[in-house]
Amino acid sequence: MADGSHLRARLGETARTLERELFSVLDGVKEGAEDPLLCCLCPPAVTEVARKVRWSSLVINPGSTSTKVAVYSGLTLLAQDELPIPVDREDGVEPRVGSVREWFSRRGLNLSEVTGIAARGGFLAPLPSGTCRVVPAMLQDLERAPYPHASNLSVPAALRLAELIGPEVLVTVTDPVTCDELDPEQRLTGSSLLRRDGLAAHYLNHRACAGILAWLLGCTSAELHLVTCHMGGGMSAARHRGGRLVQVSPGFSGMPSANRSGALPLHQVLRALEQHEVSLSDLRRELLSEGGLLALAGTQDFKALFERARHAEDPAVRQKIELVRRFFADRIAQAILELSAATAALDAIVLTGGLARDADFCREVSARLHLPVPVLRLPGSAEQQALAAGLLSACADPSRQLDYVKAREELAARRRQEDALLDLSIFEPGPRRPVLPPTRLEHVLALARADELLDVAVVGADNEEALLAVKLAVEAGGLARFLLVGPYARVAELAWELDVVVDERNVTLVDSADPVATSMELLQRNQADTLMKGSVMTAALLKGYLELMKKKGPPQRKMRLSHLGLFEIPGRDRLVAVADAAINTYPDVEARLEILENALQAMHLLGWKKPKVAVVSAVEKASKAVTSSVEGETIAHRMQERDDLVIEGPLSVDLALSPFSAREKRYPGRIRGDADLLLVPDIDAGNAIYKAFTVASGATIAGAVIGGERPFVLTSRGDSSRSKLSSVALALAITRRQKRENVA
Amino acid sequence: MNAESSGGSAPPLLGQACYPPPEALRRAAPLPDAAAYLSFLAHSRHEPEEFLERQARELAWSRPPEATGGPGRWFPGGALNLCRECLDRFLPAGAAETVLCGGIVSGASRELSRAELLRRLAALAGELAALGLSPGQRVLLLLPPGEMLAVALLAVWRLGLCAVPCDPAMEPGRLARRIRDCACAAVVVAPDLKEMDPGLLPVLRVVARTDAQGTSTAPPPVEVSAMHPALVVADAAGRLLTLPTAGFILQAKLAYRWLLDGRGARDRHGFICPSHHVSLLSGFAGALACGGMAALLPPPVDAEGWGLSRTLGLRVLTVRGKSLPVGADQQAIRPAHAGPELLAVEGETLEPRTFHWLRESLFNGDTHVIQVLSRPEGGGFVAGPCPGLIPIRPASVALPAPGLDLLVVDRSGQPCPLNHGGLLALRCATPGLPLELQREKPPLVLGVRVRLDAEGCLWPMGEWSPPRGQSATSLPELEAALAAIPGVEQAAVVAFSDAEGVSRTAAFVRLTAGVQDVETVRLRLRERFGENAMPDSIQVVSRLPVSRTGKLLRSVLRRVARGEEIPLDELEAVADPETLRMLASRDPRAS
Repeated sequence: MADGSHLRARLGETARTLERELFSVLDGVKEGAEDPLLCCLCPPAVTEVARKVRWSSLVINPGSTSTKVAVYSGLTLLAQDELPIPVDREDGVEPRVGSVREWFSRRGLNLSEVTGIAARGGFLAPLPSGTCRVVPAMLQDLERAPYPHASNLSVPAALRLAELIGPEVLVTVTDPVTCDELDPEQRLTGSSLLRRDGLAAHYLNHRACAGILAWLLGCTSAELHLVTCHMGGGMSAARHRGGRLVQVSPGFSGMPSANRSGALPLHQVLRALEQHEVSLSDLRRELLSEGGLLALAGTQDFKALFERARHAEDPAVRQKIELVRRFFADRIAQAILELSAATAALDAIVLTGGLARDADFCREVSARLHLPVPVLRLPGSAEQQALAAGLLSACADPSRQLDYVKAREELAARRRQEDALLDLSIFEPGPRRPVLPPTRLEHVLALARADELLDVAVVGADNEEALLAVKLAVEAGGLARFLLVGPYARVAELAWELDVVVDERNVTLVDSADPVATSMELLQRNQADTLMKGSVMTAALLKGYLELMKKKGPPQRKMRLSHLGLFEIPGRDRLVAVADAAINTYPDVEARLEILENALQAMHLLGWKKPKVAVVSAVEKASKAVTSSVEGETIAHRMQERDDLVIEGPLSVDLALSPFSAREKRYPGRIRGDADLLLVPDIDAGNAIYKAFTVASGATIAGAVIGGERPFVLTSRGDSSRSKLSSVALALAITRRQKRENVA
Repeated sequence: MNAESSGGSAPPLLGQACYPPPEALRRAAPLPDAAAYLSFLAHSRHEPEEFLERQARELAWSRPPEATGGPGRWFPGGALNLCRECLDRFLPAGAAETVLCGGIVSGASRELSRAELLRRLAALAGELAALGLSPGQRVLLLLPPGEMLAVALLAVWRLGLCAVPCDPAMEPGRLARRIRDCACAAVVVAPDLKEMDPGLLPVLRVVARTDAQGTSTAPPPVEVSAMHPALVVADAAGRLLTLPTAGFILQAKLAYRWLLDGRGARDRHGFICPSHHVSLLSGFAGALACGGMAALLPPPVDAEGWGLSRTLGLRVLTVRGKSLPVGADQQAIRPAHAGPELLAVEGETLEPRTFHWLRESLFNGDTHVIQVLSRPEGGGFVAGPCPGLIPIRPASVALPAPGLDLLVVDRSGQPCPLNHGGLLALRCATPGLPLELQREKPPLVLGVRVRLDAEGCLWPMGEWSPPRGQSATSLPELEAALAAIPGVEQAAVVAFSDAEGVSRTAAFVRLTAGVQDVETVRLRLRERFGENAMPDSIQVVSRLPVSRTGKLLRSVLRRVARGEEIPLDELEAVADPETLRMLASRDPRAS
């Protein structure tokens, strides 16, 4: 990078002049004339070609309430508009496409003349900055977008428009919100559990600001060391160095904005969650859509708020507005100062976005900075021009285009390399004693680990869910060897798709047209220790397993297979087990006693010496009107004498799980909100609890089918990756302990 | 590589089965052992120039090449003819020897001597020559696998034409696209196809007859350069690829000798594949060029096909994995007799249980079953074990073919660690590579997913098609390249479908008076993109049509390119209607 002292000197001397030049450029954006901002952002060679070829470019930038569109012929802005989404109409790709088509016909433009479409991008995979041609892989990535955002519609909408125009139309995205150019040290947090990503910043506008400033100074943006702060409906800030955005204050967890809370005090968040004062949904809403200015002042419009301050008669309202104004100015300045803490001197700070139109507010922010750096304003945004410039550059010189898949993979590979360094242990932690009984699923994982690996047969491995679980388990290390049983070609193809490494050591393919029969044979020959369900039907697997058990001779006790789920629920300091939420549909009392016995055996093996068992019903007293309460009482009574558990029933879920409810209801029993196992009456209740825990409370489940010689793993499509890994770990942990204690 | 016998009839449930080469094949192997073969392979990879030079010396050049050359320019100065390579060079000494076994189209097998084959192809070549076709033009061979296809291939190659074989059994939509895309100058069809939709076959057609007496004298072989187009095949995405003459036959001969256990004179090989499959074409040419015999048989591999393979006395049979029967169909073709000595299954993955069934049930464990891999992007066979030397691991294609330096890369082109699934790729261009890929930046991905194990064995993991449209030259790229040529003031390129439904492109350029001419523009464009990406026409215009808002009207240019009339309402939208009248008065395809 060139020494920036001359740039700093020039910026220091002529900041106001530059700002005036900047404003005159912004004033020059008019329909029917060359767009001066676009000219700034296109390299000279592209400008020259674009004037000769006059590509017809459509820019489409969907926002939450409108779609911004613009049409260029070469560098000439033919038309631009903001197409509102009617509040009474459902939002989606087709309505957005329809409104663009209507707009074309209203403005007398011909859609079929369009040669290229520049789309905003949305939450694609993390990428380096630049322009990518739109490819089908983007649609797949957008389906898995981590956050809902209007910009996620831009790629499908642009592709739909391209379909209407013809196959030659070039569709690009430039600098999507998922750009990730962070320096490795910026990815670290103080926790080993979380790493910062570069997601959700206004990369398009940040880079455009740098490009415009560089154009004004007659240098390249790579020569500038800047902090740009986008103050629009969303807010983000970024530090630019060497042409990259090496550090960002992201839109979701940095500054507060019109409807996002920004960073929150984490210890208070945790406590509020634990005390059930707020829910995860509350937090999500505050963080993404109903926080920030909306939460503080009831509006998302800064301009309206500041206007109100001038006219409000109530002094308390004026005082509150002043307070909110100072809060935002403080937070914005703090974000800029945090980014300014760099080893090299900054050249400039640029305030941009809609709020940068308010000169007084910008002065308030600048007054808090106290840095020997000029602070410039670039009101509004140059996103439209940046998108058009990306498209034109891709047309003029396709070698400038990033190959999306390649760029995505390369960045992921680089991050993996960095992660290896970031994960490196400097001091080896001493041997940890496994926590008994486990209170987190990580403890179950620790129980499952050993030097000697167990062998798991994946029954019907041509199944994405099962292979993802295998991949996670292999990557976690020290758990098991996996035998992928199924049709060889299909399993091999899927393994390739999912990057499962078939190394014949940790993962081996076992070709089979009948995976259930082959897997049972592997079990019988002791070539597999346990099973994981893949593509085969659960019923077929259970049938095959029961037949195998029959072949082995009469069992020591009547065999009943049942499901055991261990739930890690946010806000609870212990795991909650549930039996049986998946296998037995409507068990009678005897069957439920067998299910309880299965669960107890597994829990004892995992370290619960005397688990507290709540026999769940809707009421706490037996009533003939509620069958489960009568059965609950019977079960509790029959198990009462056992000294390896504490059992109470019937018991409602709130008394079983909430100390607060137990206190409020003055429940006199021994289980007061601290149950270890919920024995549910039937699959309806079990499934409802399962889904309520995982869907509504954000719980992670580890599940296994127990009751046979060995437990086996069932993973579900809806399970998170952590759930899948935990389920494998649970089955392995039980198997290890069974083998050790020779229970089976 | 360690060879361990699996023993017994059932394969092991766990662990890789490994079958040593049968004694009969081992005794006939051209090298003493696996180590010698591995050393030969290593030499072919590490000393490619010397290896190629030695292999090229065996071709029947009419004018030997000056050098080995390199990507895009192999064997410069050399001249040869594929028909002579496969047939004439063995005449007259071997004229009476049988070289071709007929197909089963007529329900019976036939055998043809070289002399008969020459007479048969002479008739067809005469008909094709009478059409006035010039060397390099494409001739579509719409023929099923069988002797008609063999005769047509040799006739086309004799005249220096480029063959585009296409199986009539291909799915109709795909067939129509193939016919449209290949832009052939003539088509050779089977008699039962002569009434085929004229819209589908708009070009000159010749009917290949099995009963033709073939008394005419064959036209002399037309000598062509090493890089002359010999054959057009398509990859999985339907992209047409042109195989160069010398590279194709060189790779075919290597594959025949080393992967298919080809032993030359009177050695009978059969191929059960569709006509357009590169394994059939490469195997056929390789067998004939090495002095062997070839039978081209149509899929599927059913009882009739197995029966015929016995009737014809085939020693080696190459079949496509996808054509093999599955499930209950396997019972239908269980023969009570011994099959060929070597069965080569071509395809992505030969599943271990199918391998086991083939080996144990059909051939009593005697027959050596191997899996080989051919890729159109790779110019023919690219991998397989050398039968008789390399032990077989079911589901693995073992090793790269001689002369090919294969590696496994990820989607960004970086080499994958061992056992990580990736894409099979060539480390550098070879003479057999299609012309379209010769100058592409290596590694050259071959459209198949594989993993490479620690012993150097390749394990296919399914087909892979590159994302569509990524390698094609886009219209904006062409426009930008035109605009960047000094003297070009304005440029536009439009795509359109012509009257025959063929996709075409037309360029319109406005030039600075006296500075540039259209031939220079054409030359510059060709230098940058090559012939394949050139617009079908480049028209110099004094003005381009723009709307009143200043937008370039490409829809008008498309109509001009198609030779259509411009509707009045568009005239009104144009800033300068005179421009349109001027454009409409000229035929853009004329320039």
